[in-house]
Amino acid sequence: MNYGPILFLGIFLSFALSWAGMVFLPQKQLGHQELAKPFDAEALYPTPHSGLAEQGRQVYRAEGCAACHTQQVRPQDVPQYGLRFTVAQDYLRDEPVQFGSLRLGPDLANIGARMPDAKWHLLHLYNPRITIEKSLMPQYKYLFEKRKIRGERSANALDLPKGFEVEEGFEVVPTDRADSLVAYMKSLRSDASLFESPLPTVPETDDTNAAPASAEAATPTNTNSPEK
Amino acid sequence: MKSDAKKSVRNDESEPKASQTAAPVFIFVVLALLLYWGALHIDQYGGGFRKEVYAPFKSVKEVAKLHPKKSGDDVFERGEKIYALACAGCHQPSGLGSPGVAPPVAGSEWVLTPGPGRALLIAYNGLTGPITVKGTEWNLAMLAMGQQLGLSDEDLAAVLTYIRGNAAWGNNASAVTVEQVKAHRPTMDSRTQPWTAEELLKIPETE
Amino acid sequence: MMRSSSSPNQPASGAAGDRDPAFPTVEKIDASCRGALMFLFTAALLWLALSSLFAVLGSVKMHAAGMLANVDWLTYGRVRPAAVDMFLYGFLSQAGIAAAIWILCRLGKVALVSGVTLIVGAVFWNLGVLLGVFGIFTGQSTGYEWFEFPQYAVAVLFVAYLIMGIVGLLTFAYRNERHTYVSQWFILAAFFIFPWLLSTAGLLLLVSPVRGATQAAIAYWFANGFLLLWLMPLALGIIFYMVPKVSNQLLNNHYLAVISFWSWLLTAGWSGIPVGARLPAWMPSVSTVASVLLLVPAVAMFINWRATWIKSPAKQEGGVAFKFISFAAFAFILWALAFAANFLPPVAQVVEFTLFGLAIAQLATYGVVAMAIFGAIYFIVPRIAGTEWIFGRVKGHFLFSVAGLVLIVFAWGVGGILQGTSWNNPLSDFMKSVRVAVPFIGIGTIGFLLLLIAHLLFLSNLVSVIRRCCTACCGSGKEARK
Ligand code: HEC
Ligand code: HEC
Repeated sequence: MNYGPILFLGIFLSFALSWAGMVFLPQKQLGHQELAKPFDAEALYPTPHSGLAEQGRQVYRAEGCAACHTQQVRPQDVPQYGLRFTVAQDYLRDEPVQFGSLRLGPDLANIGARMPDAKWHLLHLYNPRITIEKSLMPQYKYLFEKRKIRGERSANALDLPKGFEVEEGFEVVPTDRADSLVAYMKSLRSDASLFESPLPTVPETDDTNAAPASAEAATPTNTNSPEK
Repeated sequence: MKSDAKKSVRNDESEPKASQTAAPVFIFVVLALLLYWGALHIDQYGGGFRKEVYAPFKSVKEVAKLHPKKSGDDVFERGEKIYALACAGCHQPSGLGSPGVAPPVAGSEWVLTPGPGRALLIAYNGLTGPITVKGTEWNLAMLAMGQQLGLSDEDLAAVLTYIRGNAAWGNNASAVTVEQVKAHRPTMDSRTQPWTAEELLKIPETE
Repeated sequence: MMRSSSSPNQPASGAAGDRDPAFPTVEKIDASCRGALMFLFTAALLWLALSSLFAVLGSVKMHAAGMLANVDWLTYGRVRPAAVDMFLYGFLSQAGIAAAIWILCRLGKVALVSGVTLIVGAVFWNLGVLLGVFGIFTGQSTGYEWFEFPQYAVAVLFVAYLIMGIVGLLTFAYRNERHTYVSQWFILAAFFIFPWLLSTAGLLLLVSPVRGATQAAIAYWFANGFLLLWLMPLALGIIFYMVPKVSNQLLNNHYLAVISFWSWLLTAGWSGIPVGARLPAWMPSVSTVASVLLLVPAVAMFINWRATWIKSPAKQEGGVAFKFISFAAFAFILWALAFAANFLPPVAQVVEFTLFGLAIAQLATYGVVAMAIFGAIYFIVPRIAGTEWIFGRVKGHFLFSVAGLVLIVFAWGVGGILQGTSWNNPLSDFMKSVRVAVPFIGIGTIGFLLLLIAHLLFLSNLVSVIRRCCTACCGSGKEARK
């Protein structure tokens, strides 16, 4: 190993090996995934999000919500966070994918299904302690605008409960950033029944009792099932 | 201290070298054993390198099996059928219940007791009045499902086995035997009213 | 005092005292490094102090929800990544490169090929880090952990790295001493792999992003490679150099080092995908195996170091540096065990997504890499600057660093286990898991405060060294800087 080029070659080969295994192979396997046809719906999954929700995803990224929140439902998380565990298919349209690695707050992969109420989300973002006692989540007051009421109170002003009101004559309205973030929260749901991760009960069609032995026969319409 | 460091600054010409001792053999043995274990691990949990297989599944076959359920006389599968028929309407296929309809059975402390007694009595004779499940208070009423449908001891054992041990919900309590159900038969048959949470709490968890 | 020239343990041929007259003297070598390395070390230490300031703020913000809620650039989700990236890129990478290049010079018995080029690279590097941190604070973070810097900053960093990396590689290529030592292998591997990591992640995540979950796979691969194939090899290179150097011994076993090096390199790149990651089962299970296999080189290296320093009655020589180095060695073996455990499914079942993961990362980046680099800086600077440290402050730095690190790792480790236990209890609601963690987050904050004190001591010490160096040898100091 006193010969530089040979040392170099060894380093190159051993790293290239892991590159092939952990970058190239995943890309080959998952990089060309198609939209899937779920068992329980006609629309291809994942369905596209609204433009507002897509903007909200960028707010989520910029504010670093992923520093405290995961978007990964593991099998053991199913009772708390969703109907089924999430799989690569669920993230197909995400850019960037916000897996997260620390769960200081709850998982959000399915928050749209768990908490579809926009008002709740806005209050929670403005000051999480309004909705959750002793919440540790940071307040996102800067996503809101406190302004003087001119004439009528704005329709979208927050209804702040007792103890959290602002001064008389002022109101708090969400900025575009807050609105889009909430639209994003509502768009987060992973509840289509997929081949890799079906919902607990699969609709029983009459002719499936034939008990097919192979995967492809079992899922004739699922584009996500193993290649034929 | 100071002079020490100065010293080392001065005696600085020699650079580290390694002594050419033979490598201990044990390291190869350990490496070989771990490689062997690694191969086994990937074989068992690697899902055959298929993109459709996620833990806890181990092969595409296993995933596919989930799909159209084969009819079998497996206790668990029988329990699933009964659950879908008798309980899922209120407690949801997910076991998570639904506000205003029924509390969750997934992760419920009433289901995950060491013994099946309390949940068994609820399933057979029904339940009424306030009950706290996973920190939330409910005040609804559940019909005497078991009694009305005339579920047999075997049926009850199966459905309880299913809700207690349903890993997809995160439940992992022990299976229920027909004998355990039989032991409660007298109580179940003599009861004409739905139970209340208060009464049930008097029954030991282990029963 | 005479030990090094008369020690019976010295190799029979080609070492101590019998320097080839054609090779430059150590004084010459050190002088060639002076300007560039002092620049790199000083800049790195400034980033270190800044990052620990933001780390304190971040840790406070973890439990003070209402604090500074109106200032968007100081929100937790920006402060924390900014602090981490300043530490990883501003301090660890920069000081690591500097220490590594010095080791390459010393082991190759060759003067630094071009100090000026190195400084140019370093200027760009600091510009890149500055831009990146600015990007995070202004909401342009990429959202990938350890890779939050926006595209333009990554581009600058890449160019800056190429300049510095080439200086390193040329220094190795032009070495006078053809015989190579294990430190050089590790450093070379790191220097070669780092641009590959950075460019792969930059291209596949930022320039033309891959689809969906593949991004996550690549982000995991990058963060893992950044730790195991960039920072760790630099630290291992330093430890392998310092242990025999300071104890004035031959490294215990050459072949064991060879095996450790190659097995590390072959396995490290496969790790990094957490057990519960939402990727097909084969990826986490391959990572589990790789992480456990890493124990072999880790234990082998530790045995090798220990067997080397235990023989030496002289380990007080260069003592302060050795304290940091031996701490790094112990932290390394502890980390390797925790790291492997973390990838075992039954353990991950409890600790995944908890503070425990942060504790392990802190142990690796601070306990191993930063500690090794501290040791190296304490060893190198007196040699290249010709001025001694103020020893009281070094001692203080060591004590505060160790105390702070132990507090953080303990608090997050235990807090994480409690969090995970609470989640796995179906009867417990989420807020309970938050409540059990809060006191431990508080202890962590104290730990970060101690680290801040340690780093300020370190910085003030360096400033005093530089001041004395400049006044003492004004002429020669300036000359070397030109
Ligand atoms: C410092 C960590 C932290 C950060 C950063 C953070 N959160 Fe939270 N989040 C929490 C905690 C703790 C909870 C649980 C208490 C609560 O609901 O307020 C929570 C709860 C939530 C919930 C309710 C989840 C549920 O299941 O009830 C939502 C929605 C949410 N956060 C969204 C966000 C968004 C959007 C951001 C970024 C703008 C964000 N969080 C940033 C810590 C954080
Ligand atoms: C008509 C709707 C309905 C059906 C069908 C039903 N339940 Fe319930 N169940 C309820 C309601 C409502 C409660 C809560 C009663 C109360 O508030 O006192 C409940 C409570 C329970 C509880 C105790 C609370 C908990 O969540 O742990 C168990 C156990 C339970 N049911 C099991 C079953 C089983 C097993 C079946 C099927 C044999 C079943 N239920 C069918 C409505 C229903």
